[in-house]
Amino acid sequence: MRTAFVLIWVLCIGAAQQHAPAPLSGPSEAPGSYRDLTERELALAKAFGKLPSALPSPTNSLADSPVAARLGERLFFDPRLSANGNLSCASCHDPEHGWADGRQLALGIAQLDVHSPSVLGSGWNFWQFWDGRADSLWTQAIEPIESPLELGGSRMELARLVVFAPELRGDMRTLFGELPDLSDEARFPRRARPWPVSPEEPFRGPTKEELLDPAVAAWASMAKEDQALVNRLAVVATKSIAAFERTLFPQPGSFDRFAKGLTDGDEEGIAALGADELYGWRLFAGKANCISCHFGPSFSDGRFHNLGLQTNDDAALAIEGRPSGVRRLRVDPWNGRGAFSDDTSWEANGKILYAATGEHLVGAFKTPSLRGVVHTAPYGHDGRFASLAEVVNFYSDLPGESTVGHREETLQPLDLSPQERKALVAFLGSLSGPAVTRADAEEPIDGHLKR
Amino acid sequence: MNQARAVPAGLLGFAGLALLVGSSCSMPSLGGTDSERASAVRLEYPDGGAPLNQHFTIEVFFQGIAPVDVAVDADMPAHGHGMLTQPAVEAVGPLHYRAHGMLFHMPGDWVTTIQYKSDQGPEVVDFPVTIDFDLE
Repeated sequence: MRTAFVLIWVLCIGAAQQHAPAPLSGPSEAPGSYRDLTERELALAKAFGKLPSALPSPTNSLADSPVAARLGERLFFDPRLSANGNLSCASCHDPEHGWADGRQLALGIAQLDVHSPSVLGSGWNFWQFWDGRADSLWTQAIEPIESPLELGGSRMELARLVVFAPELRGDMRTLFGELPDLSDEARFPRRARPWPVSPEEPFRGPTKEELLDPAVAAWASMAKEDQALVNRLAVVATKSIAAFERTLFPQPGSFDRFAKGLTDGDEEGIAALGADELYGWRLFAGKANCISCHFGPSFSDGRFHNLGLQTNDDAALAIEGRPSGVRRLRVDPWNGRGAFSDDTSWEANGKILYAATGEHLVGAFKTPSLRGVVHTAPYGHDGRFASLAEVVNFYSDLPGESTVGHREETLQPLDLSPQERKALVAFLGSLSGPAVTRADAEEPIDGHLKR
Repeated sequence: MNQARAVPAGLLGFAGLALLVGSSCSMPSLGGTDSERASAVRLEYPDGGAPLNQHFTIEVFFQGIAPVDVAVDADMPAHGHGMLTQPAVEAVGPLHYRAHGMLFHMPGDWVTTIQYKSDQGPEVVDFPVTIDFDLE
């Protein structure tokens, strides 16, 4: 993340204009060439035009382990994690679809109410899930494995897989140590998972309804020390999945070649951006003010915003977003402060301590990265935009009124011309390189892959 | 130390400015002028200034008053939203407080608000600050 400088605001003209859109500055006409870009536009391009590394993950001691990444890759693509034997993490995070799924709404064993985001660049995220209810990739990974809507598996099945599967147990032994004997099915039922933790009653036991699920009943019947052992095995497995995901990055795009060309004074690199893309960059950083949220080398602030996308009056369809995510985060036994974290200090987990749940966050969802974005349609937390052109049209027109929370007031209709819309779409395309295949994931991309 | 010192809105000489710039400042002020209240409070951001999109800590110093119930918050009036964090305020000394968990997650115009109680009653002081990208 970038360090910012502080300007002391000694001129308070406009101070009384509360809730007015942020003033836009700089030229908005199409530049004839890069030489027409302002110093600020050039400096921003140079600052953003390079792929970042994954953020440190102090709660995961295996985060940068090549062995863990290898095990994690195998688990990521393994359908044995699912209840029906047909689904894996890669079902919703498919290399053929930009490591997303190409669907409007995610489809596991059942349909979810949100769109599958790409896992490329997920190591850049401060938070996981659209509402940020997981504070790390390893914390995130257990939920889809056990969710009855997604893979429908269980941590017991995950633990048994890594202990018994010949192709996995070697790496698991390296990471875990001597593997336990899970063959006694009276102690270690084939399928067992805990009941969901309730933010309202985090320490309650399973309800009668929850115990109707045989997997939950099986978990409830286990000895505490056996539950703890299975948890420890499952945690190593999800930390390994996280280690793999941390090696996945989008490929550099023509914008990066342009930025490097600017830095190096290389005209060939500078020529990587055409006229439409240059104009789009100007709009992105200026009139359209996209960089208010999509900034930095990852082209995302990684934070939460209400764009006013939810405009229906059906309360059943409403998604609260960030406040719900924070409430769940705080009671998640797998969060960075929990028993399975490799660094429970507040220094490593301050984001949990300070995360807000205020009214202003109702309806807010995480800003996605724009890198590799041409490969990950559709767009939005609910996948409502089929194309980048539709996304740009939304920001230009801002239709509807938010019925869940309130749209951030800096968002005002941009009233973009057809040429401006075309330029913005062209620029967004410049943030994408070639698609990343599974085979690519075996090879370093700008040195990011450490296996 | 190369610490940026925010200028309280009340010191800028615009009558009533402190009440104009902060959308979250709804507490009644029971005594003193804006300038008097503002001069009693001083902020220090981290070395190099408040960072963009990173947690940081600010130091709050009081002068000539004995504050209690000190609270710190910030918002972006033009955006209609505040921070994504709830800062925790630590009393370092009778006149020195430290707010942990500050986060300016977007570039633009922010207003840091200090609320406290003194023998004059509840007080609010605003500190406008503009955050931008570091392009050095």
